[in-house]
Amino acid sequence: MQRRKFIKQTGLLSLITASGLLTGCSLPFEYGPHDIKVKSEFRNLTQRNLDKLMAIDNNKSSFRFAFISDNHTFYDDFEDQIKDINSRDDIDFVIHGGDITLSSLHKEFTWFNEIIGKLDVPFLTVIGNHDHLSNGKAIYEKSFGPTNYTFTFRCVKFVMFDNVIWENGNKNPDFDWFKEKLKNDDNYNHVFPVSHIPPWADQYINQNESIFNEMMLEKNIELSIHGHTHKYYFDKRYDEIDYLVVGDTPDRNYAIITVDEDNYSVEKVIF
Amino acid sequence: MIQRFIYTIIAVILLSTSVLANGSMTEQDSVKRKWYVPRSAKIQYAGNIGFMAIGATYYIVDNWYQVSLMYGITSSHSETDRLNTLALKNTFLIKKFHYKNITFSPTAGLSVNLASTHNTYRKFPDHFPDQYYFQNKIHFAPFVGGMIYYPLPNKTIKGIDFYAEVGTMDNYLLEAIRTDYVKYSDIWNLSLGVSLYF
Repeated sequence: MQRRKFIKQTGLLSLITASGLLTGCSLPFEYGPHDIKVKSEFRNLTQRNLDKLMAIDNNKSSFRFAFISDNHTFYDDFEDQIKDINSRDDIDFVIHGGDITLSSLHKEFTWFNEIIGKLDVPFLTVIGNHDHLSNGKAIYEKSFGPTNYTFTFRCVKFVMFDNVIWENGNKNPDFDWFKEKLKNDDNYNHVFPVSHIPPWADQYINQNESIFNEMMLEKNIELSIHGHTHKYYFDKRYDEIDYLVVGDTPDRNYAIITVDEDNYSVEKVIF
Repeated sequence: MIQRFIYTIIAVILLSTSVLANGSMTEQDSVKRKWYVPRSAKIQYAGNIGFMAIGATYYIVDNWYQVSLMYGITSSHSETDRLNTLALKNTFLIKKFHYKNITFSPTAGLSVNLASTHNTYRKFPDHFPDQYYFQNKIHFAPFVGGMIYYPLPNKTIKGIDFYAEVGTMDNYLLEAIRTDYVKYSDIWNLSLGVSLYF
């Protein structure tokens, strides 16, 4: 009886262990949530998307792009947003205004990349304040590339600017780089800066709000594009320059910006 | 949704079984030792507490509730400059099965991990407004697993166990509960370890 009981128990345990090990075989080993871990398919994404963009760049001067921001970990709404953008056939690319994670854990970056990777068109990102937490900046650089960069598309220059302050050691953004890049140095039809935090928001304390706006005026910028405040806004905040901010993903809105040689227009899309 | 409830119920049952387990375990620690001398030393690979972690294990209640104080480092091959983790690992030995002198035991537990790396804080620096962020240094990590113990004919090292655990972490568990996109199956990771008993 003792022997039978033993065989029954070990048999049961072996089955449980075997099923556990079988599941275990497909499980990853993880060293920490803050580890700088990026799958090879999600590396160097800025350059890889710019290459795709270059392939559709041509002599046209008009185009249309979608601007989304602040998905954090609202993955279900984010999936709906990506589906909504894919359901349109008039968009050339997508720009994301930052806060692609909540806590900059490497799994959050992976989940973001899995969802945005379903886009039918290329996408570019700027880094947000949440993406600077923990080792987020290092993960961002490994997954996308530098946090400050520029690109051009159909005679328009985009200045993608990392303007996070508090999470970046409480130091000012690289305004010298920004000012230099805002120059219309090649007869572009427009220069559009994109940065996560609008100049009137919480982190722009001391002189930074006026420094930013003086640069906009000095360089004749028409439109500045942002996220961060989680509330849709499109207006001339300081009388002259258009500021566009889109809501966070659960707000279920985004913006479509149509650009031609002389003008641009902004449309709010609810999904 | 139903699947989630089932997983949650299984987890609760496993944990409550371990709590309700009584002192019917057959093996007892026969050695008298000072309170600060650990019963065993652990070395663990992965499990969200570093590439490699070492620790000391104390038995708190009889032979079924042990606490391990672990220190984990992440080596340069994971490309992190500095990622240290301190973990207070609570392990419950749910039941013990014996075969000759070998003991098998399913385990479950909760580890409290303190991660120390760039931009992680228990209290954020003063330039952040109050409650701007929730702390991002301490994580709660539940796990289930199993271990096999062999006694050794040695005066110093009296036994050895090998264990494997499947664990997750508070942030990931929250996303699996909160969103449809993150599945329960997406959030688990595996760790392996060895304990030497003194």
